[in-house]
Formats: sequence, structure tokens, C-alpha cells
Amino acid sequence: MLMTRRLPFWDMDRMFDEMSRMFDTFGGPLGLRSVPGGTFPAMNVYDAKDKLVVTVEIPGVDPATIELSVQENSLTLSGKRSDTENGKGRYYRKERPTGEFHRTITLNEKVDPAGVAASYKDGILRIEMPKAQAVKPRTIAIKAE
Amino acid sequence: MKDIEKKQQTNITRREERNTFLPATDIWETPEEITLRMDMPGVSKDNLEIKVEGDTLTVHGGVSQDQPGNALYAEQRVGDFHREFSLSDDLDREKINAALNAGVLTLTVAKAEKVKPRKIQILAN
Repeated sequence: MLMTRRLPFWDMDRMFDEMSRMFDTFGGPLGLRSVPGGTFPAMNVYDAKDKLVVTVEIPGVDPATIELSVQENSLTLSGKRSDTENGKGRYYRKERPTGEFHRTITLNEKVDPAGVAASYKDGILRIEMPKAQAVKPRTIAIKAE
Repeated sequence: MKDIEKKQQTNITRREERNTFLPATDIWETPEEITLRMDMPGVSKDNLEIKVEGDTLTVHGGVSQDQPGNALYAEQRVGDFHREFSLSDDLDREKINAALNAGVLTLTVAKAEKVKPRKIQILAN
């Protein structure tokens, strides 16, 4: 049986990716848009003024089965991407990561766990977390005398 | 392995100065059909293009490049998805089904009648 579990130039591809990011070049080497084993799913963290936004590429998962918990300064995500078709036929290529995942990231700013909102669309999980009151930028009006 | 082979990418593909990436793909075969399943997070039905030209099957998925704010940490790369596959003559080009569900595209290509397994009845005398 032919099955490609590990891609031989995965690490090299990753290295090129890092390099092209470092030099900020567009049209870098082509590669699979995924992350190496151990870091599924890929996450991005954005600072959107009064909140932190996390996007997670997690296609083909029922959002009801994703466990998400947010604490003041960390976010934990766990779940499982099952391989429903496995065993049904003969595989030629197997590049999509499957199985259980568990990731925790530390947030650089304190957030308010009570106000967290999460949505799932087209395989992307988007988590919006309002920043804790104390760290929100406050504009101070200057009174003219 | 003869049925579907990945086309050799010889140069960098550019579309409107956007990055394109190969979607991670599973390919498996059953006696009746070949299935291709691709991870294309962020691609909606409206931004997905599937074409068959001659013996080439092309899949292109556009991803919105909007970012919700300043990126503090990034593992996802910004760009579209693009991948080409060669179809052999053993596959029926008219019978391709596509389904997009939660960022996962499933394409099933039926095999031509001539290559489908046929059971031969053995007649007892």
C-alpha cells in the first residue's frame, strides 16, 4: 500500500517559509498550507484595539465537539478531527492531519473571559475576546479652562 | 498511483500578486471511484473554482485576505489555494461530484465503465 504519511521535505519547506516571512517576500516557495505535526490547528492572534481576535484553521470539524476555554491570560482548545473514511479504500495520499489535538496559548494581554464570543465558518474558528477593563486604552478628555 | 498524479509544479504560481498554496489532500480509491479530499479553510462556495481541461483537474479556492487587526502571532499563511491533478483515461470526466463542507472539499470522480470490476458468473453444468 502506498501511503504518504510524512512529507520528505516538510522541514525544509517550513524553513523556507520562515525565511520568506523573515525577508517579507511575496510569492515564496510553494508548499502545503498546513503546519508540521504537533501544531495542528494553526492559530493566528490579532490585536484589534479593544479586543484580541484568534483565528484557527480547523476545517472539517463539528464546532459542537470543539472544547474551548479562555482564562484571563490563556486560551485552550481541544478536540478531535476524525478520519471517517479510513479503511474504505486504498490510499494514495494522506496529507490531512487527523486525530486529537490540544493546544494552549498564552495571551499577551488580559482578557475578560465572560465576554468571549466564538464562531465557526468555512473551517475557520474565530474567537473574539474583549480586553480586560484595566488594559483597554482610555482616552482622557482635556478640559479647557 | 497511475490514476491520479500530482502535476509537477515547475514555477511559482501567482494570481493578482497573491500567494497560493497547495491544500493538504487525501486521495483514496474504491472499485467504483476515486475520492480527493482537500483542506481549504476560509474558502466559501462562491470563491471555489473547479475546472476540467483535457486531462487536468484544477481546483482554486480564494481566501479573504482581510485581517481583523494587527497580527501579534501568526502560523497561518495568507494566500489562496491552488492545486492541479492529472486524470487518467480510466476516469469518467463527466461524472465528477464536488461537495464543500466546513472548509473541506470532497471531489469524487467515477471510474469509466470499462475499468469497473465485473463479476463473472460461473455456470455449473
